[in-house]
Amino acid sequence: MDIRIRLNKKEMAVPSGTTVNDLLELAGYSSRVAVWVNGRQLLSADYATRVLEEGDEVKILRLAAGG
Amino acid sequence: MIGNAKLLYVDLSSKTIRTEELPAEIYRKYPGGSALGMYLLFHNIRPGTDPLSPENPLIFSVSPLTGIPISGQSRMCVTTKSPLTGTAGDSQVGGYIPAQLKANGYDAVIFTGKAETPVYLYIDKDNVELRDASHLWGKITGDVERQIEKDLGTDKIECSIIGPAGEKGVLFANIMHRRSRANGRNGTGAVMGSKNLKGLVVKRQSPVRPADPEGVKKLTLNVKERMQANPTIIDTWENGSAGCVDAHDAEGFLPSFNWNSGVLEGAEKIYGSTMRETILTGRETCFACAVRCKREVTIPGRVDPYYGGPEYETIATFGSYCGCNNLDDICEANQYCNMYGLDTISCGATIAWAMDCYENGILTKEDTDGLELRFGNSSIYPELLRKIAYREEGIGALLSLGSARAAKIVGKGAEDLVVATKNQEWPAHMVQFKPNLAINYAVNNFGADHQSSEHDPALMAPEDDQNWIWPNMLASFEKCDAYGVLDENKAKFAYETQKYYSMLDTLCLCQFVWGPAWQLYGPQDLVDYCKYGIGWETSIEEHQEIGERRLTMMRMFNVREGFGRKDDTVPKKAFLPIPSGPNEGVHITKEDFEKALDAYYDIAGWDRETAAPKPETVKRLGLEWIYELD
Repeated sequence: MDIRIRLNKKEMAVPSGTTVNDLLELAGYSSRVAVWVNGRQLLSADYATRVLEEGDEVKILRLAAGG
Repeated sequence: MIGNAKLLYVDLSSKTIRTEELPAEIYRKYPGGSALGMYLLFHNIRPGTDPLSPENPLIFSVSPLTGIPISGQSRMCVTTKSPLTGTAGDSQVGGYIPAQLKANGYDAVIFTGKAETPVYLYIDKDNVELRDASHLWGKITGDVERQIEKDLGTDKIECSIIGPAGEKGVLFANIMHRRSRANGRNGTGAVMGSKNLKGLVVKRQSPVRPADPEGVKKLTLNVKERMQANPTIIDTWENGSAGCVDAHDAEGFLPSFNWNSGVLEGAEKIYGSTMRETILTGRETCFACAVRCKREVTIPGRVDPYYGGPEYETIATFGSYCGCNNLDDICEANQYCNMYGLDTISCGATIAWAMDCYENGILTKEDTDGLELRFGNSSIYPELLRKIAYREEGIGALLSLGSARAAKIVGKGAEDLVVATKNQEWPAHMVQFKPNLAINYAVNNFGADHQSSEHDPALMAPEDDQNWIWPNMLASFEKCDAYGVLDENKAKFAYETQKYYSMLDTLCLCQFVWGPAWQLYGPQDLVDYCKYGIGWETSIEEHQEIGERRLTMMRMFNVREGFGRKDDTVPKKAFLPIPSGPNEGVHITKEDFEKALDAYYDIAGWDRETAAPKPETVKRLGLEWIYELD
């Protein structure tokens, strides 16, 4: 069963039980990102265990540095 | 510990060579690289000196840490008065010559005067001689290296040389090492050319030994594990700095069409990952470095791996800046720049500016020697680069001055299209995305530079990520959770990390390896390295002070040359909202910029009005001696 979330202000459906890590893979992000769920920033150690829930507002920003 | 520095003075006018020792107590305050270079520059130049006159010294310097076999320590600084910016001139190179200059026993080489005929300096420990370079004058970099090897009967040498661009006085000419490493910015190659100095050549020697080899091993033995645990470093190994093309394009922050946009259609064709999958034939490195970020690309019949491969900045300036997504053309342009000795950032950005002028009818075919300078027309690169390198009358001579000077000549609104500060073209990091760079591009003492502070994404990192933990070892910062934010926190981040980068440029350490955020080794590792490498008991605080001292010296040099707040500016395009793409509308405001600039001056202890270091700042850093110079 799918749940609906908002990722960077756009609606999307993801399978129930999707973790943040799963979402990163689904949306084509590397692990070099900062993630907020419902306005609260996660520790990177939580990406593997934080399961997304219906209606979650997720913000992902890439940590693109260097050059 | 830091001992005396051994300085090699070479007066090209009189052909005299002598050595001198700089006492350890002074060297510890200015421990190599850029700080030592600035100390020596102040003592060997008078205010108002013409950068291309014999009176402008050209200084190559390394540091007490250079040459010890560990990643990211083989860097060499060139210091001079820049002909491009008119400020203190500063540029770093990696590769092998830094470690080898140190292995020959020298901490700095100071060239003064002007040779009557072309020469190069050859160093083999105590045997130092000026050799005739008449037969090398006019030759491209690769041919010069081969000929010097032939003349000396050995390939066990390392060379830093100029190409035709430096000889002709292109204001963004660089100094090339191994055909693909450059003291790239600030036009140091033009200063070298003005002295009839074709090269600095050193004989390879046994490497420098660390004070505590077992201690250094604590940092080097686990390097593979360190790399594997660091995704940014792995990407740097895998895709080189060109991996930034992928990351910046994904967010719509790839500076395109002379900074009119952050989006280039078909940008994936010029991704670092695309280069890896198609034309990459080798990963090169610097002395003892595990990261191997340098590229070698091969395009049969067009691009020879002997000249390396493009960095992110080169792909952006000759690619997205110019509306070009043809990777082969970009690689060919990179090769020509490396052959002629041209800084790829200023060169590509200047061409992008000219294309913007052409698209707007400010330049026409009559001005361009018939070249169709439209965005996306990368077929003109080979011809245009030859014209620039040799300063051929017409468009070549015009663009050889850089975009800011050229715009003043062209007029008709061309100045509004320039993206430069202190006459130096902006590197490829959009300030809407990384707003602290708006401050750093504005204030940086040798013109806009992307390697003079950490970038903003570190302030977005999770609290258990080294990107967050390491910068907060320097000072306490506040979190940032959005693009386009420019405030006091960013001004503080700009200054505190600028001090750190300034220290790295002093200790001649690679900013991809020894950084305060995403890099391989962090601030405490560096303290450990100083102890194990040379027996120097130091601290993060002392490192920060070393960086601050060098920044303040540079600022004092510039103030003496007439620079002030009026020159700490950003171009109009910095305030454009991103017009399209995933981050459409992101922008910074002029008001926020000016407030952050005030905050920066306050934190730095500089006067808001004049942008000069306040007397108490000068005193705290022990720089009053500069007031007593002419």
